[in-house]
This record gives sequence, structure tokens and C-alpha cells, in this order.
Amino acid sequence: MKRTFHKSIEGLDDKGQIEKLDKREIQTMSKDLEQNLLLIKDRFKDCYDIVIREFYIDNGHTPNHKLALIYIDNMIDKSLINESIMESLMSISKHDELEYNGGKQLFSRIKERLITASHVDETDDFEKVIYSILCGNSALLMDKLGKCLIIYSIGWEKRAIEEPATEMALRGSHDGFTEAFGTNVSLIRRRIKDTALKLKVYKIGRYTNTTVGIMFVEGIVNPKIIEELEGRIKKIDIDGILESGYIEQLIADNWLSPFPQFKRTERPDTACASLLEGNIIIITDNTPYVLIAPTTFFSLFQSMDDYTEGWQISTFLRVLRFIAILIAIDMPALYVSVTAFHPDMLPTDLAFSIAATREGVPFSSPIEALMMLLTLEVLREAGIRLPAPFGQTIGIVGSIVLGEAAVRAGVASPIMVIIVSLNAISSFVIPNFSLAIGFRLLAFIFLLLSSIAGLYGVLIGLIALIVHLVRLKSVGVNYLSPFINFKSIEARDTLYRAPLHFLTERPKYTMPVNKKRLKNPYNRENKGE
Amino acid sequence: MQTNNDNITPSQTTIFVISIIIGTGILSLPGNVSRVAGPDGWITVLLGGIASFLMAIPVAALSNKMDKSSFIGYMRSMFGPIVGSVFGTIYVVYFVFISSVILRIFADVLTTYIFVKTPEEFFIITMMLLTIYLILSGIEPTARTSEILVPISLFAIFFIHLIAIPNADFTELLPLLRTPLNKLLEGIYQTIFSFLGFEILLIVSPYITDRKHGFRIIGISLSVTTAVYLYIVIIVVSSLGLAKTSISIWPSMSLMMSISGPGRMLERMGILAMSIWIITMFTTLCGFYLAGSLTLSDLLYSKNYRLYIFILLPIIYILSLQPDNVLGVINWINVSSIIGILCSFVIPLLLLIMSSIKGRN
Repeated sequence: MKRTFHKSIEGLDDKGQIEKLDKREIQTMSKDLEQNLLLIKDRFKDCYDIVIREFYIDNGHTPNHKLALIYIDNMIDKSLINESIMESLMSISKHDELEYNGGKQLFSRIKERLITASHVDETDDFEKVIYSILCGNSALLMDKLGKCLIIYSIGWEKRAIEEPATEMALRGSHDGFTEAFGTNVSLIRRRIKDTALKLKVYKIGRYTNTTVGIMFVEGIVNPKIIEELEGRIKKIDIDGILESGYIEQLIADNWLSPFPQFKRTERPDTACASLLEGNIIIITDNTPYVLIAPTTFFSLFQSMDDYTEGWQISTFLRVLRFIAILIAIDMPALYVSVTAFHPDMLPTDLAFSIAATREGVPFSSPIEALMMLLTLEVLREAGIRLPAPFGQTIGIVGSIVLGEAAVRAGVASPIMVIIVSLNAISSFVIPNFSLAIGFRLLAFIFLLLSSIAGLYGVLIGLIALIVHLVRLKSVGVNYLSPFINFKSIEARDTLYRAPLHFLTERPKYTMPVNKKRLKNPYNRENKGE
Repeated sequence: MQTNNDNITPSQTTIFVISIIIGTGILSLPGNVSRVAGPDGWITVLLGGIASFLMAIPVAALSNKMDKSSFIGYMRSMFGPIVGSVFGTIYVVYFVFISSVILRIFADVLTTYIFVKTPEEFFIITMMLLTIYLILSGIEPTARTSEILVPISLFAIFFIHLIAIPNADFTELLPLLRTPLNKLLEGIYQTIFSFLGFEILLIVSPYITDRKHGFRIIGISLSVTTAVYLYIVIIVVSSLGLAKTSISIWPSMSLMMSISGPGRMLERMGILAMSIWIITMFTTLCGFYLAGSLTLSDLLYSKNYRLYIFILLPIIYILSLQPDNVLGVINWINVSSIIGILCSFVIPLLLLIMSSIKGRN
């Protein structure tokens, strides 16, 4: 934590921050403590939780020198304030020989010898003092000195590291990112112990002053991508960043696209894997979701399990996911176009059996499909919003009442229930739920197209989808890489997953500076060494 | 950064050219060659492939010679501004004409086989909108799209026709080589239309990153096309029968409408085949439409070809609705075939001669 905030103060030197400070007119601290306190009190007017602790140090040479410790209650580590600051300051004894030179020596004595907190910093910038207090640090002000000591004393309640809730994996680590920026950084640092792993920090949000950091591995990542991403992040000017989703949407290449242009993850192992592939990760304070950029369509299909399990299983899972996507986009649309437009396509027996099940259904198949799809979406959404104890109720109500009873009542045909459930389940096979929800949305569009023009409509939709994906970029990188300027070697980790020792090179789409990832242990030349 | 810098690599160009050449030929070629050359139809396809390669030599040679300036600019510098512009106009007319013919064939086949009651305008308009959506983004995304669509359609063509093999009777292709030479030559002429499209290389040459691969691009794309056509002609003639193939305008579609899917998953393969064929049609249309608007904008000394996409839109639409019936469409195909030979062989040859004369001086 401490490290983070040391860095975060440095982030102040960032361009955007300086501009912001300019607007408020940089104010240096006055030599008079009372004056400073008045200013601070004025700024923190009506802030009940501000604590201003005034006290004196009485020493032979510095009689009744007044000091003030300022912090915000509940944001600091109380034991640290007590033990490392107050105790040591109060215990300045009379035999400490201090000259009387306007408190300068006292100041350096306090800074260098007395305060046992691990991080201190001195400043005369008034705004910086205010900001540090807001961050949960404590400021030590002294009379007769235009300087202030900032003591890093952050300590607030935070959630323990838990298993990621939205990104399950069979193997792989069970720790997930939390809301605390520092914890998240440490989770990454713990995995990549190299000085090449860099962290740059920005402050975004006029009111929230959210810490946003980008991490990358120098020597792998392409500097151009860092430059592009940095430029975009710096441009953000918003009152507050409350979740990484804000950043994701504000710096996306194409805001019209339903596809996520950043991969978000809750898993540190996934984040580290991307770092090693030459991606950049964006960590946002107060968000357990880390963004990975650049992202391609195919990287959204990969999960950590793909690499921890054997290549046969992983390849099978990849193929399964591709099939699942097709079902997730197309299933209701195909059903509608086949039943409403091209019944001649189906084998006669199947056509008859579909017709028989639809016998009592009063609606046309597009309306029927739309109704069922909407019902399912409502159920899904309700399942998320409802408090956990009700969750099961929704499952029962959804599956039995709405599915079974709708069929019995003759509102929907059983085949439609199968189609819609298959469609929904398939979309959840995709590891990335932003992508999955994008596909759910597309299912409606395809349904519309198929009810207008049957299979032709579906095909037009598919071609338009491909064209859209071809045009889409993520941080300037082709979304459909590596299938642009395709080299068959790149299929190794996209269409299928080759045995790990064949994946000797990093994926091309990140344009890594250093391409070599692995020395093939089965290669004869390497074995000899 | 991977920006849309409108530069395409030689391999992208190859796929782009393949995607343009393979188009309506898939549907009509088996009928055309069977009518003229009978069981030797497939030989005319092979010979037609070789003939079109010979025809494409000037195009390939020119593509190696050309520089970053546009094709029209190159023609103007070789022939002088007036003759160059006249030839340029011929190209624009050709591209516009062939775009509307493709659209019309597309709409005709759909309304004949599948959507009997839907007006043709619906298909023409939706396909044009889709095309515009793609080509507005420029030449590189268009090439990239064909890079993705061509492998899909080639695989699909291969597998869909594979299904017909159990019903195929290869004796339909016998007797071998009994066709008189003049019939063979006529057959070759018939196949030429299906091989047209390589002249697009001239238009896209300025955008290729490395312009020394003209012959390779033409060679690969024409041999892939020949292989695909050969495969289709052999399968269609042997499964549908020579007699039926000859009387059918779009025999491939007739074949697909008559066979069932594997494991009786589908009663008719027709609609699936149609989907594949729409993709190949789409890529062809994109190529010609884009080439048309690029050429027109160069002809009028304009840098903004996107504007000309919209200017060409009503022209292509109205032209595509001109033929009254299928026979009219076939007449149009013949006309465009003639302009096509002019644009892909005669003018490039003149240009090549001219440029070598100028080069010597």
C-alpha cells in the first residue's frame, strides 16, 4: 500500500494534474501555522471527519513550538499514528540538544530521527497537502516553517483476496483482484519478479481523483502501444471514475461496437499471461477488474484453463467455443428462417414434427422466438439483481413455470424452448461475459433479420458482422488478428492450441519487441546444450 | 500501429484477386461449357484457365512496372491526357456495367430458386448497402475482408460439392476429346467471362507494398480459380448429367436444389449453397464497385473516392434493373464479356507496348 501512494504522489507531476492544480492557483504554505490551519479548516469546512491535532513541543531551545497533525478519521492507520508519530514526538526530551534556528533543525530531526513511519515526504505546496490528506495520509504542520511533512499513514478496511466470482477456472490460482489498487499491483508483482515490470500511475476524475495505473513488461511490449494508450488515458476528463468500465468506454476505438475492445479480467494469472504476451494492463483503483489492451476477438475466447490443461483438451474446448458462438448468435434466427421461410430445407419428418408441436401455438414463429428470448433475458437479469436467497426461486420459476407451463398452455412450442435455452446456455460458454452479452444482443438483431428475409437476412447479417469485425480495432490493433495477413503459424494458439512447446513465439498482434517466448525443449539443438 | 493506411501486401492482393475472379462463374460455367463442348467441357475450363493466364500477362507485366501513381495517371502519362482519359472512361463503364450485371444475376438466382415472391429490388438494395458498408472503409479493409471470406467460401464450395459425389456418374464426362477444335475454341471464349476480374490488379497496384510480384499474383490466383472451376464443372456435369446441365442456366444451383445434406440433416443443400455463393458474389461485387469508384475519382482528378461510391450507387442500381428477363441478363453478360476482354487484354497490351517504347526512348 505504501509503495502505491508514494507512486501516486509522483503521479501528481503528470501533465493533467498540473493543469488541474493551475486552475486552483498553486498556493505555497505560509510560515505562520495559524494561517495555514485557518486555510485548511476553511477547505475542510463541514467535513466532520477531519481531525486536527494541535500540540506543543517544549524543548530547552525551542520553547512551546506548536505543531499540528491533520488527517481524516477512518482513513488512517490509528496504531501507526499513535506509535510512530505521536509517541515519538511527545517523547522529545529536554536533553535533545537543538539549536533555535526557526525550527529547521527540529523539522529535520523529526523527519530523519523521530518518525518511524516507513514513508515521509516534505512539501510546501498547499494543494499537495490537501490532496495527501484526502488520500488518507497525515500532514504534520509546524509553526515558523513554510513546510509540511506528509506521513504515509493509510489504513482503511479492505476486502480480503477472494476467489474471482465471475471468472471461474478449473486450474490456475484461486486468488482474484480486489478493490485495493495496491493489493492488485502486488498480486501482479508477486508473479512477475523482474524490474522490467513497470507501473505508471495517473490520476483521473476531477472529484474522485482515482488512481489509474498501467503495467507492462518493458522489453516485450511495443512502445507505440504504450504511447497510444497513455495518450488516450491522459485525455480523459471526467468528474469521476468509479469502475474500470468507465475507462474502457471512454478510450475505446469504436463506441458503436457491441464488442468489448478491452479484455477485462479478475484473475491475476490471466493478467500476467497477457503481460508476458506483450499486452498492457490497466489497473483502476476501487475496481476488481483489470483491463487488458490491446485485445483481439480470439483472445476473448481464451481462458486460463486453455494453458493449464493439455493441448488436446484445450483444442477441443476452443472448437467447442466456436460452435457455441455460432449457436449463440444464430440459433433462434436459423430456427425462424427455416420454419417460416424455408420449410423445404428440413427433412420431411422433422418438418412434420415441428409443425405438429407448433399446432396449438397462436403466434408466428418470429413473435414466439422474440417472446421467449425476452423472457430469458429478463430471467437472466433478474437472477443477477435478486438477493442471493431468491436466486434459486428465479431458477425454479424460470425453468418450470415459464418453460414447462408456457408449453402446456400452448403459448410456445417445446422446440422453441429447446432452441432458446440452447442459445442462452451456449452464450455462457464464452469465458468473457462482456462478449457473451454482446452476442446475446446480436441474437436479437439476427432474429429480426431472419424474420424479414429468412436465411438471406441471416447471411447478410453474418457478412456485415465479419465486415464490422474486420474494421474494428483495439488500441489501433486489428481486432481480427491474426487472421489479417494470416500466417499459418499463428493458428497455433487461436484456432487450436498446439502443445505448449510449439508456442515458441509471442502472439503477433501485440507487435512485441521481443518475439521469442520459449526454447523448445524437444528441439534437438536445444537439448544438446 | 496497424492503421488503415491503404497498403496491401502481395499475398493479400492474391486473395483479393481470387475473391474477385470467383463469382458468377460458379453458377453458370458448367452450363456454358457443356452447351458448347459437351463432355469435354472440363477441358475447355482447363484451356480457358491457361488462355486467361496468357491474356493476363500484360496486366501482370504492367503491375510490375507501375509506380505509386494511380492506373489512370499511368495511362495518361503513357497515352497522353485525352486518350488516357478515354481509356479510363472505358474502365469506369466496364466496372459499373459488370457490377450491375453481377447484382442482377444475384437477384435473379435468388428470386428464381428461393424467394419466388420477393421483388428483385430488395436483394439488389440490401446487397448494395452491404457492399457500400465495406468499401467505404477503404481498399485495405476490403482486401482484409476477402482474406477472411475467401478461405471460408473455398472450403465450403469444396465440401458442399463433395456431398454430390456419391450420386456422381463420371461416365458423363466420356467420350473424351471428341469435340472439334472450333467448338473447343468457342468453349474457351465462353469461359473467359468467368475468369475476368484479374484486371483489378491494375487498379490496386499502386496500393501494393511490394510491386514486383505481378506474375506470382496472377499465376496463383488464376490457378486457384481454374482448380475451383474444374472441380465444380466435373462434379456438376457428372452428378446432374450432361443433358440437364446443358439446358440449365444456373446448373450448380439446380444440382444443389436436388441433393440432400449429409446424414439427412438437410433436405436440400440449395440454401446452404446459396449462402456460400452469396459470399463469393459479395466479394466480387465489392472488388468491382470499389475499382469503379477508385477509377472514376482518379479520372476526375479527385482524391475522395468515397464520394464516387455514392455517385455510382443510383447508376448501378438503375442499370441492374434494365434487363427484362433472364435472356436479357445473358445478353448483358455477353456484352460485359466483350468490354471485359477489351479492358483486361487489349488496353493493357497497348499500354505495355507504349510503356516499353517510351522506356526505350
